[in-house]
Amino acid sequence: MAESQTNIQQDSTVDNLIKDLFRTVRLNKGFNIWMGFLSVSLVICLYAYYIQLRDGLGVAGIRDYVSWGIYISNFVFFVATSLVGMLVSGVVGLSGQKWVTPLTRIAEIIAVAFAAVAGLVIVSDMGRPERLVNVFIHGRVQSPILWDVTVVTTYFLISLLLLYITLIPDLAYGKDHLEGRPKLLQKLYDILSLGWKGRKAEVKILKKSTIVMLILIIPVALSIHTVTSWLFAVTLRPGWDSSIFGPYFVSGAFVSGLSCLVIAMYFFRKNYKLEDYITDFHFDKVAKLLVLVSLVYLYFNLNEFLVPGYKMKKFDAVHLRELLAGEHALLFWSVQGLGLIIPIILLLIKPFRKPLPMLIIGIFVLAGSWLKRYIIVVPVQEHPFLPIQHEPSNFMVYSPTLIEILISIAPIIMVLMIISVLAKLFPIIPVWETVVHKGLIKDETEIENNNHI
Amino acid sequence: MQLNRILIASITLLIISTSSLFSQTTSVPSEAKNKTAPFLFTPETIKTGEQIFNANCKSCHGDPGKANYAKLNPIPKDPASPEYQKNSDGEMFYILSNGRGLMPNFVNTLNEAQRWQVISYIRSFNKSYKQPPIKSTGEVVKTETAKMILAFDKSEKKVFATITDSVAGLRKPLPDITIKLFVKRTFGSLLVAEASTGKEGIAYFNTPADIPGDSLGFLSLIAKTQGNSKELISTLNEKLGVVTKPKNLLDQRAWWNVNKMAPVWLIISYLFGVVGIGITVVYILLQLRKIKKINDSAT
Ligand code: HEC
Repeated sequence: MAESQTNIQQDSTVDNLIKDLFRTVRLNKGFNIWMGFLSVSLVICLYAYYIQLRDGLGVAGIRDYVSWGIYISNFVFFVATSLVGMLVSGVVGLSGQKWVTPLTRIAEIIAVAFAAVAGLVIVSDMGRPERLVNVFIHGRVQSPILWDVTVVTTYFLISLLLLYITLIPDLAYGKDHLEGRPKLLQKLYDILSLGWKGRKAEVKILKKSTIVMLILIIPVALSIHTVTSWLFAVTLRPGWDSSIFGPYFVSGAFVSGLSCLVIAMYFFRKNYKLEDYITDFHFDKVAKLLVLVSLVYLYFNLNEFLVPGYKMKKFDAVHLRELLAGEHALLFWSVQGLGLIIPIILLLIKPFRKPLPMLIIGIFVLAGSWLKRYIIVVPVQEHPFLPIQHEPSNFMVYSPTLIEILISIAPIIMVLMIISVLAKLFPIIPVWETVVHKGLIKDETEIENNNHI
Repeated sequence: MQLNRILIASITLLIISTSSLFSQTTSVPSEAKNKTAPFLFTPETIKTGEQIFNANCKSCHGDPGKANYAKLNPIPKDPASPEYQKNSDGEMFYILSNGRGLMPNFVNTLNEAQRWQVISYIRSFNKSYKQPPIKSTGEVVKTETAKMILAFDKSEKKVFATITDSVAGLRKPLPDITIKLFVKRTFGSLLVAEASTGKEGIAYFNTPADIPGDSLGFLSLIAKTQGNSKELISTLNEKLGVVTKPKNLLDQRAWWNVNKMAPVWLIISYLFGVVGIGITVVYILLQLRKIKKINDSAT
């Protein structure tokens, strides 16, 4: 084994760095407790889902008026948050921002986890999940639902592939740095690394493939959230009938995705002792990026509410009054204030761009993002165009049941599990890229590439 | 300057002459002229008539007796004026129902009773007016044995209905019965003509020539006798309508249609997206295989 890696030039600093980054790849007690806790919670939530399967959707709070409740809000939130992979690796990475390297894998893992579970979240809103296949058998190409199924699946696969490609060189490093880890893991590394040696030809192929994937992921990610917004926007309902829903959702997705990244950055840095790699500098940069996307989102919010609010068309008015000054006003203004406006202001002040303040701000923004999806999905349905007759009075207002809440928590647990496992199986900071970026090994393709461009 | 004035004057003259030409051409058919109100004019009918007049007519005709009508061409006339009052009740009713020149018709705004009520109000400004005796507009079919047959007269090119009653084994014509002719539509029926039977018990209908028929031009006609104790109904299918090829919305490619009938551009875009992504992914996988091959051959 020892002979097989002679091609990789290594001096002791490189070796130390790799060792340092592989430190986190191990199963320890803390991890087992954490996963045990998640598993038990998941089992409880799955029991709630079992009840729903057995007794039907009636166990949830959704009724004739509000038929899309927190399940669909959850779905939109999941799709939204998964966009962070495209933002960090695709947009920021492709634009040549080298500082983002240590954060790309975290972002990609978040993307994979959220995209993988988003599909399951939709299933939780189905009374007869075994009929899901009908979407594929009888789906109409005209239906945004078919487009959504298509793009969400595609995005998941592409994100997974991207995560894998960028992992290949690291997997090769694993051969020498996984002593004492389970044999199965070492075998897995061996197979997945494709026998990577870091030869010039390989690096060239890898770089090209990565760039192709990063370019591909941008339109696909844009379309997953645009299409998700169209699920609403192609209807005539006041509050959904909007032509800016696509960019409104996408900009909102960047906000929720970045806030999720901030939280993940904080925990990995703290728990994995990665202070040398994820520094205050990185928090500062991400904070500024978060301010940028939040401002864009705020701008779309302004358009989305001010323009119809100025006109107050008959049916819009009913909805807007409820939102801005009525039943949902407290929620609406808290979300806009605590989840968007105040974070923007705070993040403009330097001391708040430090890790701990940013964690707190990130939690507020993320919670705000979830509740914002609730605001988009639920209140609209309380004012149907056609009156529904002879309904019990509790049909008119929606409040989620305990079972419904547990079922909605399940996907969040699954996401945490996927992120935790992936972050344990593989180095959370891209090792090879870090080594290259630090100039510790020469990148022979670089000179050629520069000539090409 | 001079030229301009002449021009304007002649144009004005032209407009006046053509528009007054219009009003002269609209004459009231004689049977409509003799039509009478179905009820006696009373202070009550005059009162409701006043309200209807104020709401619908005053804007043009002004207050009766004050000659403050709108300055239209031809003038709407003061309802109290002798020229206006010289119209018979039937003529007024006809003008109200059909409109005249700039005056709109009121068939859809006022029902028959309301139209007669306005007339009763207008008549209240005429001291010398005496309401003509009420003519029964149609006999009522009283017997159970009466029959109506709707048919098409090929030589006259007209639809006609015959109403007869059987008296002592013989069929005897029933005169003076008003019949309404309808065309069946998808929802409800459309009234297209009205006529009364003559001495022979026959009523001819003037049906409009521009009613859309089915794909062969057939119309489904229904004749009904009016206001009677026993309603007589007769139907007829005749090629009297305009040939209409029904447009089935599901025959075209559209958003709302089935999958097979999706818009072509949409199918292409969707496939383009899916296949494009698929090819890219396959390309990437091939690249990965290349990496593996390089290393396999090296060992
Ligand atoms: C838009 C304006 C307008 C309105 C509203 C209107 N009229 Fe007239 N009316 C006219 C004009 C103009 C004439 C003259 C038409 C012509 O001679 O070409 C006229 C003529 C008549 C005449 C015939 C008088 C004659 O010249 O012998 C009667 C009767 C009449 N209107 C009754 C009514 C009644 C009743 C109402 C309300 C239900 C009414 N009109 C509403 C404009 C109007």
